[in-house]
Amino acid sequence: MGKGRNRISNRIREHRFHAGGMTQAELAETVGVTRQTVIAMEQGRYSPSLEVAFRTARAFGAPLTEVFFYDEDENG
Amino acid sequence: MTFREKSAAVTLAVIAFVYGGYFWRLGDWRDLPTIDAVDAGLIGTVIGLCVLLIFAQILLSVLTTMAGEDTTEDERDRTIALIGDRNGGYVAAAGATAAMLALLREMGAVQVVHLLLLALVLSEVAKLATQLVLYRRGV
Repeated sequence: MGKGRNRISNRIREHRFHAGGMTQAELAETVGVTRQTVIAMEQGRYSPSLEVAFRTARAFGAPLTEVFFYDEDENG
Repeated sequence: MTFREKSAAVTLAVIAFVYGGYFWRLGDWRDLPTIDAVDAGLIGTVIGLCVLLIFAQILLSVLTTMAGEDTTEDERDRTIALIGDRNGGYVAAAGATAAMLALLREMGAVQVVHLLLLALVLSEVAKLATQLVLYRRGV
């Protein structure tokens, strides 16, 4: 956290598209965060808590691991 | 920009303006005025800071609400605030240590008071600057 690129990536943008073009504001409302937090998550600038990650996945009706994943490529 | 980010930016600007002006007016560190003169100047500065901060925060809230933006706080805001508090705490601790050393070197009360005040101001600046960096860079 805070050192270089975030290693937790996500497919939130893709899932929003598949959810009928759900807006960032709609997702934020459903998940219970601000729109800026959704933007930060999509851009990989914020790794959410487990609770928010689960709520995000539930908003898309998808399992957590389909929305969030860990970058295995990097060392460490 | 979230409401909290704007709020941190406004607070930082007000603190830099008010306390920057205070320390600039104070002049030479070794030739500070008497404690009575400091009291008057300091009380005026603190009152000025409070008035400006309240005015700026009210204005920011009104403008944000009028723009239809969200003013609530979420977990990202809280995480960033915590990291900011931690960094501010480091600076405050360093300032307290400097003040203890100043006392051991038998510096005057006015100098020690200003050293502590400077530490408090810098700790607040460090806290707010950390928050602004984290909002931009990510956490």
